[in-house]
Amino acid sequence: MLVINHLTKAFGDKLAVGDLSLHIAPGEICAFIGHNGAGKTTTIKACCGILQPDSGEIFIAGKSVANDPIACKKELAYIPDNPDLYEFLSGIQYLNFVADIFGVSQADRQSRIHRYADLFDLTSDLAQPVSSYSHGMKQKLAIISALLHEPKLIIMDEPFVGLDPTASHLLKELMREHCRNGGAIFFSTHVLEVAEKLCDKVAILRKGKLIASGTMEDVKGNQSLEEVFLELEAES
Amino acid sequence: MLKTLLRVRLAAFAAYFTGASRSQKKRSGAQKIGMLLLMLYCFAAFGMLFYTSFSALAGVYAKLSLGWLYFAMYAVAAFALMVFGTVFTAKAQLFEAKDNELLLSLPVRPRDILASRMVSLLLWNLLFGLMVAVPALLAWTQAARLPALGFVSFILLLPALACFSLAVTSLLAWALSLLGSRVRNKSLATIIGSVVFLGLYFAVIFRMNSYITQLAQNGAQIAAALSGAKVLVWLGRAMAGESAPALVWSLLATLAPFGLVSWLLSRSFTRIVTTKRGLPKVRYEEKALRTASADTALVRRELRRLGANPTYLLNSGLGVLFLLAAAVVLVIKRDVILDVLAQMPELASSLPVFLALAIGGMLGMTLFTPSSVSLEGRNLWILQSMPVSGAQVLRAKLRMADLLTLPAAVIASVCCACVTELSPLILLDSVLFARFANVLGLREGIVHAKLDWSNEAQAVKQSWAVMLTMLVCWGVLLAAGAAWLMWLAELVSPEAFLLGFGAVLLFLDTLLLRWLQTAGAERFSRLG
Repeated sequence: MLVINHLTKAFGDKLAVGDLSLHIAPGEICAFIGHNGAGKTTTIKACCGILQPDSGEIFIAGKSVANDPIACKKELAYIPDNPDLYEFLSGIQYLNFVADIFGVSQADRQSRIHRYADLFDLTSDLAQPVSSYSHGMKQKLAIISALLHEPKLIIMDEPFVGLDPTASHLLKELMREHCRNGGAIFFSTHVLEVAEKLCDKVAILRKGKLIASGTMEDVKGNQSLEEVFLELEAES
Repeated sequence: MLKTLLRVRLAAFAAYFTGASRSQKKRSGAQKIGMLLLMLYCFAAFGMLFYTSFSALAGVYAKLSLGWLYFAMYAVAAFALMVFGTVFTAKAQLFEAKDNELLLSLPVRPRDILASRMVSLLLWNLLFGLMVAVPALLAWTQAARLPALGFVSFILLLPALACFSLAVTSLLAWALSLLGSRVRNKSLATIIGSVVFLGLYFAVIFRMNSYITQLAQNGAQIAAALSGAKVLVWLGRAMAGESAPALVWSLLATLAPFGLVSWLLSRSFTRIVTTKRGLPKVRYEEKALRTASADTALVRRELRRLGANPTYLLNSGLGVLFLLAAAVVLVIKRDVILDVLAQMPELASSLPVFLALAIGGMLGMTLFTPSSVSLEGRNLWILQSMPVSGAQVLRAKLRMADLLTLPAAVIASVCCACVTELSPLILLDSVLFARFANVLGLREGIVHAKLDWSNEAQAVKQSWAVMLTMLVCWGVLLAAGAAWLMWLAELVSPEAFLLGFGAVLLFLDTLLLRWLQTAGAERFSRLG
């Protein structure tokens, strides 16, 4: 579903990501972990077509992000670390706008908004302007908008930040459901316990270089993910 | 900490004049000098307007020994311009800045935050004050001698007037902010209020010549009437160099309100900026959602942003109102205009050209596209991660502007039919010019995108894209007007000129549109 081949991106003299390769198959949830400034967000933004890589290729559902960005973006949904949404729209207007852009039918958008807004307890607030939302509510709205077009791949940057425990639990359930239905998820997190319990795969990044990746069992063995991460950090 | 905050505010103030932005590459020295020269040109252009008015008064009042009245009028004009020019900036920077809460969470005294913002606003006030002060002083010194005391008072009272204006604008800005938080349809209320205010303002401006004549002819009576207004008399007498105590009283009268307002605001700043006066919550009632194509959704998004942002709407859309108002005036005053034209046949032949250029002049003030790119700000990721191309987004911005400007251009051109038979050609040129202003504005918006604003007013009002677009639009019109008056009027007919001008505009429109669809779209996709 997501293939990253030799991705390299530098900002001036600073190498953000160097020669990173990663494959995520349909049905897999892959956690992307690393210290602050390791290059996670840069990688994620490159996968979403927001940043142009200096070299390397990224494929989503077999299509190249560089050559066919629009087709790739139709297949994915992106939730950033800070959900800056359109404050001049109400929640429902924002969701309807996203549905229009992705060409979601009237019946589908109606039922999906109903389902997800109810799940996240956001229905009664949908008429309110986004500017009146708390951080957590914006995060919930961003998650709902990401699920509207039933993307094949969901890419998330720190998705649990700002969510209350109920919403966090719900999001994990929805992530599992998405993968059961053949979708894939690639997300960054600093919450290693969540990554360990939720993910099939893990990729660990340090200073822009991939220092470990594979199935969760292969990477952590008998240890906890936290122990492995700390050991790898110390070794590097 | 105050020093650090001041450095940040002053850097932002200076960046406005050099066009610098954190999100862009550093500008070269030549670019900065170019920007500064452009600013100086604008300053000089406004200064000339005031110089014309003040020089008409200075000679008369000097002969009547009414120097104090002259300077009192200068003080009123400077104060009015300072208040008008900075009140919305004060509202945005003092009470609605997005970083207020962040700064309050830091170990910074609230009064330091307030002080740093007020210093920046004071500089803006001074700048507006200088636009009036320099021509007023020049006009007077050409008509009469200004004693040393008058000169010193003039210098001292300019910052004092700026302080007084800042006190008034801060209170007005606070009232506007409070009002805005309590009104459900904030945009509409702001627009109605602003249009009424501007209507009065322009009613005064259009009658300025007759007012100036009346002021010049009735100096003695005005002086007698104003003699009871102590503060004006003090200000006038101090700057005319007639009384040293008047200078002291003037300084007290201008600085005391400033001190009082600063003290009041510093005591209540935290409460003012952190108190949410939201409206009652509206519960969502599920209903059938309207679907639209991606292109329509993008245009709707642009229109909603415009409708929700009074600063954007007012700064960009006033030209439309002027254009429609001018068209109505043209229809109402048709007989008067036709009488004048009958007496001046040489003017009649040039009328279609002047009308086309005048419509262009007003369309050159109707600039929705230049700030539309910067307004994406931190939301840019949404479009960049969606399955829409940069060209699609730019097309939507253009369609939004076309939807608002083209009908106004058409209406104004059709109204021209009551004074000229060439209105179809005026219509052609007006529509092409509206389109030119829109595509040029979008180009400038991309090239001079400023995404790191802390309040939307920075993206709308303090935008190089807007200023450059306006200057280029007016430059094109001036060049066309000069070419007509100096050479072409004798060589070609107005029909041929209008057709030729239309052809040039069509060429420019095509060229700019091509850039937007290719390099512009690519550049937009890589912004951020």
